[in-house]
Amino acid sequence: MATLDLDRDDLFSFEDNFFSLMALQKYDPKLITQTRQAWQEERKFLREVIAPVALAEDRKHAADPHYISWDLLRLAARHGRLSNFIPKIMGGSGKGAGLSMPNSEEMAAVDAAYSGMLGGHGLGLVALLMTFNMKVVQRVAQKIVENESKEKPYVIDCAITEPAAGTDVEEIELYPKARLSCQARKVPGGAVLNGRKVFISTGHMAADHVILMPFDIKDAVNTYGCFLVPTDAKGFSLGRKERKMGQRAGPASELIFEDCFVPDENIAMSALEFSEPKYRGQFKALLEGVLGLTRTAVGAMSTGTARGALERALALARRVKHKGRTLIHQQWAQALLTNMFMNVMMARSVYFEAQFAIMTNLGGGGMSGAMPGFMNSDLVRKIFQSRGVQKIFTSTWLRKKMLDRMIDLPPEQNARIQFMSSMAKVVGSDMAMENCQLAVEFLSQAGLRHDQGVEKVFRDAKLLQIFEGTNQLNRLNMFKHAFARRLPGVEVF
Amino acid sequence: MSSASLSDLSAFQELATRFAKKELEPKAIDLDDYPYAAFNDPALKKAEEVGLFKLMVPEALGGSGQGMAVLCQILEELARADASFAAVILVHTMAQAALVQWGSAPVIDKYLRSPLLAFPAYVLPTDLPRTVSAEKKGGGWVLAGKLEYLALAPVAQALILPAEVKGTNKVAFFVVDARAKGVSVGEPVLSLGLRNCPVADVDLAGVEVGAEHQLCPDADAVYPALAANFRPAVAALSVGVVAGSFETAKNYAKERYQGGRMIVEYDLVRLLLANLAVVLESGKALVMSMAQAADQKRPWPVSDAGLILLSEAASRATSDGVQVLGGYGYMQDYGQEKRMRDAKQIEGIFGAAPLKRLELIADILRQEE
Repeated sequence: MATLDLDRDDLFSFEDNFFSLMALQKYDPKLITQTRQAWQEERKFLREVIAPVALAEDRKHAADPHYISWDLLRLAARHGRLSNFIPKIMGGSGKGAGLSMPNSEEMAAVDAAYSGMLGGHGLGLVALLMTFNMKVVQRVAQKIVENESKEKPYVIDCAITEPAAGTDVEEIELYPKARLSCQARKVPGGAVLNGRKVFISTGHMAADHVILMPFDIKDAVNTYGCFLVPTDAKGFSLGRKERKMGQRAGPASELIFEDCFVPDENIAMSALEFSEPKYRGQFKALLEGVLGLTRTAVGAMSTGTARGALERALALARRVKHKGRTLIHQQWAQALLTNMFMNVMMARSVYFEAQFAIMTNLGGGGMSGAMPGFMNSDLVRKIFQSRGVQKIFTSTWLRKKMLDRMIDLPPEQNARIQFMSSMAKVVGSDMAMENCQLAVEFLSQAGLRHDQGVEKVFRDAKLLQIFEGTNQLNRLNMFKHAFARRLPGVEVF
Repeated sequence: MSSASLSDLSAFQELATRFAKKELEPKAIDLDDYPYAAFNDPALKKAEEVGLFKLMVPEALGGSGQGMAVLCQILEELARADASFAAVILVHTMAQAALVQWGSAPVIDKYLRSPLLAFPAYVLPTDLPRTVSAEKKGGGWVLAGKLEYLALAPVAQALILPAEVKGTNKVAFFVVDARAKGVSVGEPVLSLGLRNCPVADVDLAGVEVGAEHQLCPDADAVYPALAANFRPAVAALSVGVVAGSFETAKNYAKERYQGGRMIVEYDLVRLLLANLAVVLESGKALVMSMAQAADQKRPWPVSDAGLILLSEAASRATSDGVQVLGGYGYMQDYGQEKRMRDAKQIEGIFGAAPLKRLELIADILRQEE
């Protein structure tokens, strides 16, 4: 009997393990400079603008459960934080910073709740982008930029979760058994939505909502649609704002649809829109594409949260005393802080590997925030916005090309993105929670008081292990994509 | 006090269970918004009526003279419904014990009537803060300085607090009227957990008290023993919180469907529940043996070791208790996130967790010398 599966090279293949090494061949040194610039600029903004208000903002939510962090969102808008990932050719500043993983980490290190608030907006954008419906994408991008220039915050959200379907809608294989209640109905000139969505991040702040629901609950995966619904749409209403443990800057909201009409132009995607059966698969491609990106982003946020706990513990360790000696001089405290540092590095290594897995198996700059130069060129902008180019850019032909790329992505390439993004999320959030546990028990009183900041990180961190699929679900997802799909007969869900 | 008989234990447990169900459960989540919700005064009054308030006060002084085993049983039941309220009883009972053990007859007589006593529950017993100084003046003392994070200070009528006696390097305990001239109790400190067991920073600007207000001249000689005695009670709080978390998680897992099955049918959910059950079932037994050791006047080392083990385990287990409920666990509605915060706050009673470990081992090594 063999102790190792020596005949199975595919289980621990080179391509499945050395993502950063694989990425070297695609690496452009400019990426490093751009990433660093964007990161430095983001750090400066966060430390000067967000850090001074984060704790007070959290406290306002404790005082009033109905409070909404408009002030914080306005600060983000005033400093261009809601649009900086939109390239110049589409009217944005093209700094790229907003969707960069190192910057997500940085945001969470300063204020995990702020990173969560922008995360809801980011999720909406990623979901919309994954429909490759460039008409809708450009319309939303334009609204963001226009409002921001007037210092008005315009954000969107993305609604997947339903009251009885949480884990179910985070894993494509669970959809057939999911207890879904939301359903869309085709009507002349558009669709009518009915049902209730819950726990929708930034819901009460969003001006437009990106809604995912099927046309047929019984065949959900093959009939999903993606709808853009403005807050003032008839038949749409905001329900309760959840009272959360932490992550309070971004509201978690209930969205209610009662015969809510969505005109055709706001249907970003429908699995039924093309006659070729292949495009029925576009929802699976969208969901896995979105989760591949957002779970990696949660890994980055988690790393930042773990670091936020460490940074605060480190600062307090220079003040808190035990028997007259500050903690920072005591060996046990030094070792504990080092453990926390190791946890941060571990979390970061995994989300970086996940980022490289996306870069090498799907494409893009690895979400470092850098963009190819032409996207920020004024000349290209003029050409891009010309009617001819726009016609092609928003054409069904191009959309299908892009959908093809997602739908036809070789299974092993998709699998690498899936298991690595799940890993970034699980390792990161476990490290974040662990660091918060350590920081609070390390500091005693100072760790327990709201006014010292560690307490807030502890509350903020717990959500990371839950959203974007619980860590339990993500473990199974990793097993499915790393092992089970190569081992005939092994079933996961 | 001798260890309670089994029938005593079950009678008190029944009383506490009924009390918790009626007086605590319905309001626990709303009252957790303190200081933005009211302090749980009504439950406190009821607790006094049914005799949960002077449990360990000797019968000669008008209490029921119970031991640690009974207190633990009661606290566990109360904490299952609302750890904040259990903590109020714990802190007050501990302050009463300090008063009774260290005070002189007139001081005991006066302050035992106080509806609530504040006590520094969140400090390492061997490392009391020296931020308040006590200076002899005339026949009494003058207290000056700032004491951070004094449990029950916002709601207590009297404060029991440590102060460094000038010129001696010793820390003594004093009892001070909360309304005495020069005492200012700060706004309630918003904390991670046990929010309805209020805490505040206290400023003392030359507070003059009589000589009898000094409860003990050298806290190092007496306080570690008192704290050792009360560690089982803190552990009982931890175990009670875990009990509430386990119950809630188990019930939810039997109602929630994902993937076409009740989630309790998934191994990964069962393993989370198991983490809670392991702490709960072994915790109950450990707390009882800790309490019995305390009642037999030999609390150390099992109470020190047991508290470290249980309070840390409870923090981790209640996080799993949130996890079972997923997004719903993160919201206030089911009380799971409160239990996670409460468990973490309880871990901070008697000081930082790693320091508790270092203390334990230092004590063990000292014993061997």
